[in-house]
Amino acid sequence: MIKKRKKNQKKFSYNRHETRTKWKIYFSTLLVVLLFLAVGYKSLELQVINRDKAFRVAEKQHNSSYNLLPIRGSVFDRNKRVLATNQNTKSIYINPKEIEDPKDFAQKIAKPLGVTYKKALSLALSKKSFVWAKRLAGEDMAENINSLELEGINFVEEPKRVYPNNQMLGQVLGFTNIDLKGIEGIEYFFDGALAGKPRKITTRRDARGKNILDIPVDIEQSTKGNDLVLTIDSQIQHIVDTELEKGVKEMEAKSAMALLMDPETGEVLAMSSYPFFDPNNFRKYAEINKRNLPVWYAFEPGSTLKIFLLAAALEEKIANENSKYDCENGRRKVGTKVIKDVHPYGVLTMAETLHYSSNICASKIGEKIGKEYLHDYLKDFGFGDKLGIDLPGESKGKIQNLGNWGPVELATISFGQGISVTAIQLVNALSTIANGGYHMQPYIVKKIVNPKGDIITEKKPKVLKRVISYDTSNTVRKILKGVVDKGTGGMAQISGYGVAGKTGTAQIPNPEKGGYYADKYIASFVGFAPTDKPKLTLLVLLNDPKKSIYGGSTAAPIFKSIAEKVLFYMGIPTQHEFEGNSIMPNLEGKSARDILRWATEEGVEVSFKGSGYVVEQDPGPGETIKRGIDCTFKLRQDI
Amino acid sequence: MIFDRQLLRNFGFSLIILSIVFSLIGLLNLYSSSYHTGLSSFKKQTLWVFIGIVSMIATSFINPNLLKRYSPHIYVGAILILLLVIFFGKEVSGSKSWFQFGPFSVQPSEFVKIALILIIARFYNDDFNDGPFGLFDLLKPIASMIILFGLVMLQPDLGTGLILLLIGASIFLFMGLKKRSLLFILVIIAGLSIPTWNFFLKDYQKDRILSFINPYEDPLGSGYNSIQSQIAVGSGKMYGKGFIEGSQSQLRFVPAQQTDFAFSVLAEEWGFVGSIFTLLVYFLIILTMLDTAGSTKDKFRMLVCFGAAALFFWHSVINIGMVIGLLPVTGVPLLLFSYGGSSTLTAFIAIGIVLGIRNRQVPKPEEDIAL
Repeated sequence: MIKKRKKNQKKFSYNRHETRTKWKIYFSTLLVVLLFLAVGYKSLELQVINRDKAFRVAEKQHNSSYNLLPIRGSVFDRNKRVLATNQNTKSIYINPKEIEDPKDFAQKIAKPLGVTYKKALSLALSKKSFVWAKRLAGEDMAENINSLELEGINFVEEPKRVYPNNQMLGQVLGFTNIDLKGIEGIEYFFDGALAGKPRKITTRRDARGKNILDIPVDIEQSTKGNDLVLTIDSQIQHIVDTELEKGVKEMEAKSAMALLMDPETGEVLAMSSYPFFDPNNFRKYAEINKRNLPVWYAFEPGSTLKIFLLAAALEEKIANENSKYDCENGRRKVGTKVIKDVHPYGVLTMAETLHYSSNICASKIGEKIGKEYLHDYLKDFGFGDKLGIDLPGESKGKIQNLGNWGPVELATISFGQGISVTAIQLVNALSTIANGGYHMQPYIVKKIVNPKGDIITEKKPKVLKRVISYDTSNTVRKILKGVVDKGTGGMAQISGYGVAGKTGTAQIPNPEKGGYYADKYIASFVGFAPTDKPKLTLLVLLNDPKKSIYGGSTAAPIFKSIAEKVLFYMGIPTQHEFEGNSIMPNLEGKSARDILRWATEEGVEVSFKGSGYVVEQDPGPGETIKRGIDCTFKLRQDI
Repeated sequence: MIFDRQLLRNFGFSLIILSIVFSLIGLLNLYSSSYHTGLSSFKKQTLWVFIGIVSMIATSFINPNLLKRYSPHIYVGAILILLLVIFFGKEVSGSKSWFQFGPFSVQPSEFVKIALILIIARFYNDDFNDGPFGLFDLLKPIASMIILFGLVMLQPDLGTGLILLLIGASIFLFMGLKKRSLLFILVIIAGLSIPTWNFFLKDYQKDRILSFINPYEDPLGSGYNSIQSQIAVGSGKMYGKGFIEGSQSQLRFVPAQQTDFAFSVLAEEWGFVGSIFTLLVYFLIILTMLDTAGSTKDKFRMLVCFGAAALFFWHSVINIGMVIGLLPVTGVPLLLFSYGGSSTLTAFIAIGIVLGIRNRQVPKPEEDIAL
């Protein structure tokens, strides 16, 4: 060591050495600090500045998530009877990463699953960690597969959409696909309200792709969808369905529809399309069969449209019910066309025109109204445009542009040809007559109720437009009652109730050749009852009935059998013939001559005691006059 | 050895507390990362930490002069034990680095690091020269370093070898190198790197370096570890995912999460706040060692402390640098933190030596001592 010291020729200064060492230590410390700062900065960058990037990547590779169907809201009728709901059903899925021997697995699973070995193998070899094997499997299949105790097979409960009334309201309710997404009908139109939020299950998956179950799994709770309460009354719907089917079979019609509405409110009480459709097995049916005919099907209304012609004429005071028209014995030439009546008539009053459904007189009335007014009235009654009912697939129907209305068009439209309407338009327009002139917004969903039971939206009857005056509607009502009482609608008569309505028999346009089919007709009857305070408006329409082509002989009897039962179900009391005057007025102080004039007018039998002026009466003022019992009056000479 | 009362009076608790706190953080972290595999490594490590703390305190009572005197013997012992492990060691995944004693396995190359520090410190202590040193002046310490390095590389254990070189280099640089020598060494390293790359590095070692340059080139292969570790660290965000809640670690996406990548579990579960706190504790340990080095007058003691600081520093920088993607993947554990009995014991012994030196420091006299 001494040698070394000599060699380097340096003096060793303890002091100097110590100071230098100090500085070196400081320098080293500085280096350490710098490197730690570098490490700290990189941490900061990873954990704070770019934090979400790494977090997303981590979540993505840790979580395998899938959605479980939410509980879809139920659909109820107005009396809270279930129309559509859910049933918990087992679904089977596979986690291929848990399968050790895919071939063996496929062999065992193929048969109970009802698939080929090849298909089962492709499921087992999938690279994902979640594959559906069979959704909404039957209880038996689930049980069978469960008993195999295979690794990688898992079960989960999923709601399945069921329609407990099967084919009742099938086309109205529509259906959902397997993911409970509404495809048709109310299910489609109200999908947003019914759907709810899906239940998201997130399982953790480790680096080898196995699902880890003991690590907390996020289950995002599903939100149940909202319930719907319809305006439909399933009792009434049942009556309509039963009678319609019976009628269709009897009349040998190809298809049919019926629509029953509360004329006061615009609520749809029943809606039927025949042949019926069972949404539980929607795959079995043809597309056309899934159509909700009363809103979708636009047809030529035929004579039923004369109601609105009449209303327009009365409202415009072009005529009154006693105005007379010459029906020219069944043939009238308008422009290049000859208009015919089924039975030739001579001179008819306005009311009789409708009672006997004369096309010739209708064309004359139409001419008197003029095309502009007729066009506007038809529009006001809701024809030619969507009404905006809360159902999908509504048709507009068709009214020719005014520019295309020549004399022939004006004439034919007057009796319902060359124009097309939907059942909902027709029934809604007739309700306007029935309720005193108010054109109502038709609707079918009354309430949307959230899972807690709070009403989210509730629809109230809404007047779209006042179309005709009360007097006009009253007169039309009377005339339409005449159609049933003495005219073509005789088969719609119901004992004890006043019925008003109109028959329709229309040819079906041939879309291929133009013109009309020679032997195909649409027979319809549209009406309301009871006449004094209408509780229902009902359309029955038969497509291509073979028994008879006339609405009066095919649709009217169906109308009768439906309306009769529905009125009874509604608890509407039967009434006397003399509507509007079935209540005894106060006749005190009247002379016997006055009483007799009143009695003749009202068709009441009277008997007198004494002479002079009335001092006592039985029934008393405001009481009902009972049929077959005389009204008795006590008279005295001086007052 | 006479029991010195002054030793107790000066007892430096700061280093003890820091090291115990740090090893407890490591244990807590190990509890989490072995939670889903039955805690067996946690239990073993608890025992090792206990043994380590006892050894640390025991070592602190050994007079540093004894260490100075016997450092050649310790060095020879280190060579013998490395030879033994090459011939009789247990081979684990291609490396003969382990002795198996019942349920415990010991990795002797960890302890060798201390022997290297001691022998180099002894060399400078015996040399009155005050630097800078030429290469020929340092023939002895460089040779002793290369011998140990060579034996470790025979196992092979790249991580430990690297640490040995870095400790040696740190001390050499600290003591001063002649400019020409430094230049010469740099040229040699540059010249050697190409044949090393071509002939000496194994494919997996090459992959590690390549994948460090661009880990996303092969994200499922060689870049996987680095990427997954960075995802774990990053997804911990500011405050972490919580104890035993680190999905990236618990779902075993993080590789070697009990040993080399233990810190990424901590970073994921305790976030930026947790990892910075842990880094700070580690930093304080190194700082205390450097402080001890700066305040001792004995050259041997000074260099031993400096060497120990270098040991801790390089372990932490290489390990954490790897965890956060600053450095390539090398098998260097985070001392006192990663699961592993030998490295834990080595770390505690190193601290114990520094502690012994620190406790024996007399308050510095104010006046300069003229020689």
